[in-house]
Amino acid sequence: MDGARGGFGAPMPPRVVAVVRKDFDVKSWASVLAVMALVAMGCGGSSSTAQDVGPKKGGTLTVALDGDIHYADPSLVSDSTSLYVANQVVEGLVGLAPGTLSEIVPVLASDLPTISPDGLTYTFKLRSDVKFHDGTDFNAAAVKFNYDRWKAFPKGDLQSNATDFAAVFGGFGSTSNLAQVDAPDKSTVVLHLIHPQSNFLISQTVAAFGIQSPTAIQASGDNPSLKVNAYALGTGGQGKAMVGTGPFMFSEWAANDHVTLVKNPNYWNAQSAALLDRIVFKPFADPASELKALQSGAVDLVETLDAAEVGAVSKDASLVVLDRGSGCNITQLGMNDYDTVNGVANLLGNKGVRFAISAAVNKPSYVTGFYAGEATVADNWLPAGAQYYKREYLPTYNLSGSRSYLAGAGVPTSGLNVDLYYPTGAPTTVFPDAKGLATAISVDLQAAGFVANLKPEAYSPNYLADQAAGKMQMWLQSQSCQWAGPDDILYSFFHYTNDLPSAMFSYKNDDLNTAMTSAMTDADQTKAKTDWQKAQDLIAAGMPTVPLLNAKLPAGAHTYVMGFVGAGNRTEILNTVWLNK
Amino acid sequence: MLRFIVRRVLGAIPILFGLSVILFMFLRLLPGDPAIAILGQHATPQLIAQIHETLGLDKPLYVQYLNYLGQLLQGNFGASIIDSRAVADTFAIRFPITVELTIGALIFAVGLGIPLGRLAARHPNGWIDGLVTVVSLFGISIPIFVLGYTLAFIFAVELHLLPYPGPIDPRLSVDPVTHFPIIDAVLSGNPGAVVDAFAHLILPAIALGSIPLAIVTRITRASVIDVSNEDYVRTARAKGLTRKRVDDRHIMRNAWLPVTTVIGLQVGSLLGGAVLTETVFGWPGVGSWVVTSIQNHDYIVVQSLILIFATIFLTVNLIVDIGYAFLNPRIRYS
Repeated sequence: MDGARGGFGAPMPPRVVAVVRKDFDVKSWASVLAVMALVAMGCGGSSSTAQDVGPKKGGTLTVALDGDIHYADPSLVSDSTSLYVANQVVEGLVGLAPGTLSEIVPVLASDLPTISPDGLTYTFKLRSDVKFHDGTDFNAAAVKFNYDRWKAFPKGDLQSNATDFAAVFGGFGSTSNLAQVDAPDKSTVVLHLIHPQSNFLISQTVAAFGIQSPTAIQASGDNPSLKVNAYALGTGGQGKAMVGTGPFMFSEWAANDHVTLVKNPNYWNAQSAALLDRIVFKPFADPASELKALQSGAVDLVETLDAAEVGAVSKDASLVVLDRGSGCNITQLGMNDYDTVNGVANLLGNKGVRFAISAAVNKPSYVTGFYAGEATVADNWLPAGAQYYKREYLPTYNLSGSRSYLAGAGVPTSGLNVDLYYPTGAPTTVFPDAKGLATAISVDLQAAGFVANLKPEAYSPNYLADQAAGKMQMWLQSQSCQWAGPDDILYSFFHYTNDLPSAMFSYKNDDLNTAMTSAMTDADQTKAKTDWQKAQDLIAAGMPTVPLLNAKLPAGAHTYVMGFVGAGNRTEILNTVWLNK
Repeated sequence: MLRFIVRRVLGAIPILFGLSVILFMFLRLLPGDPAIAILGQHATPQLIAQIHETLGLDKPLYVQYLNYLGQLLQGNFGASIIDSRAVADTFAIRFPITVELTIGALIFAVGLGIPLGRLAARHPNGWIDGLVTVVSLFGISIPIFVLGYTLAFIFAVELHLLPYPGPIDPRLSVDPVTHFPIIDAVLSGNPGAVVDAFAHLILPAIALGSIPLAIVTRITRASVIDVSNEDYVRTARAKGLTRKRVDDRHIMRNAWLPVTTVIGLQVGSLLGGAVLTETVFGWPGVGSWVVTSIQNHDYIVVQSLILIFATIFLTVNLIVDIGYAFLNPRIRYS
């Protein structure tokens, strides 16, 4: 955490900011000192200063978001903006320790669950002092209602949007790996799985698994068609949408204008109760508007700054960049590793060539050149801080090393043609300057003997569709975590079934596939850790793609915004934030 | 007159029908898939197929069009693919915001453009005329988004004189009753909110009204100079009428016709310009909705909004034509 940059960390005392005007003369200073002395005397000799004042309660925080929320029912959203808002309102059985990517802590459960030796049964003891925002009781029946509801989502709108449930449990109804949920008493809930899955606990930290009030959902009718689902559309207002147990309560959603949350005055954890009275989230269509809104004082905090905004915010004395630490994302040089197509050999099917590319790219220069320093060089496909992360010692920038790899690969050491795709119109928080980055990579590759043909393509949805379909030979790819488990990136990238690797990478490595399959189904987390770390070693040895960097995605705020405790995967809760003004 | 109106209304039907066909096909010819816009990086072939099925995108194009047309004929504009909200419901919330912005821009353009045009016409080819010409050229040449961001930077970021962005400060908690920000602010009974809503309108109204301002100024100038050279004006002056009387009764009354036409046509342009202005100034009106819907490949919203815009444009043109008859009794429609 970068305390020197101000306003960051656990609730901090307000900083005394001396605003010094250049035209202040000696007489002016003398006046100021005299007034300060009088004030001190007026305090009866107390040594109290502004720095001793604790966090102030009250006030409204206005937060700029990179777009609007999708639905007011967290179980139906998977985008980062909707989940960011939902994180303030709903809580799951487990969550993440503040400021961490993967440290699992109990939230609505009173402790971490007891897991049966076969990894199929998770028994949670629940807190007894929790109420939903509509005043109804949180208990085992409510937990069972929520899990049963998700599992039973009918085909159509609800299944199409509950992608996190589908991703974790493999589907709905009988195809789901969630066998059954029991509530033997008010404070005990037991989740039964069909097969063990080692990502179960960490995946439950996502706000999509936040427990909501059964009373509120049932009262709304929970219509399977979202067109008329008042709960999901948030049309009923407070107590009739996003009814959770968190430190803030949903108040109002004016679509594409703002979402308002208010303080939960009856929050079960008094020590973590919100300091703010209200939060107003404002969606913005582009970073330039967002930045001007921050500079003009229309918003207090920008949830995510892109590289260009970081530069502008850093130069403004009234603003501060709030570092979230290492991000939970990976920007990599995607590669399609098929051997041949129609009898034509693919250069990238040769492992030595992939290692040569890995040694040819100057990753630190990309961090400073295109991310304003707000990224870290990736040394693994898994971001640092993710569960079971292991540092891998990948080739560093070394042109002679790159040429050695090429020589060893049995290919010519010059004139090696590769197509390098990059997106146009991508969100700047995903790719601050995709064209610049692709150009820099092509220059680096040229120095190592490659000829990289730059191929621009519109980001959404062409680029994403074409990369998924395996139509690109080499491309800039960025993926963020939904949860910071190794499965969320490694498994989704490189796992395959029926002996058929994914179209995206065409990377076939049976040892890796076996290790990941075993890691995913390990009943024991220690064994899972071993398997996941073995998988990371195998990926590093095969170099199917070239990891470049992990973007940090800092927030930006006015210096009077205090107590922000950021998390690299943007799951922070704003209960600790207060306004020093 | 009635026959004229009926004929124009009936004539609009094939125009709107043709437009609906072209829009429907054109939007679907664009590369891209709304399912991927919904799912983002988590798109899998299974989920994509499921969303296609849910949204009916797996059906043949003509079936999709006929379904859409059937809904349209029942007055149902459909629902957004992305957020499931009925287009009509969202339109009812967003359109007043766009209307308020458009009225603000029109007041700025007409309120300033006509006096400037008259001033320039009174001193043709003089330095005042030159200055007005430069202002007009500036207004018509500079792109809205450049002017918008520049105004925001100067008056909101640097000088902190005017607020930015949005139509009203959300911290004021004004209940959206009519969805016209200023009217809602008045209804809230909070004078501070009323001032805030007016202040929020100034910069976007200037940005959006800059092009109409230039056009209204130039047309007014040209029209006033044309009429000023008419024999009857010379006669009026020769009779010794006061300048004000000649201006008001003989020049402006006749100069209004082309100016009114242009003002009417500008309403359509303002709706188009609102797309950029609302995006730059963060106004949650119909214009910014079009932008986000295009980005998300939200076919239903885009095609419905363009149809609604076209209907508004045709209606405004009809009203302008009818207005001619009142302004110029010599015009008769048959």
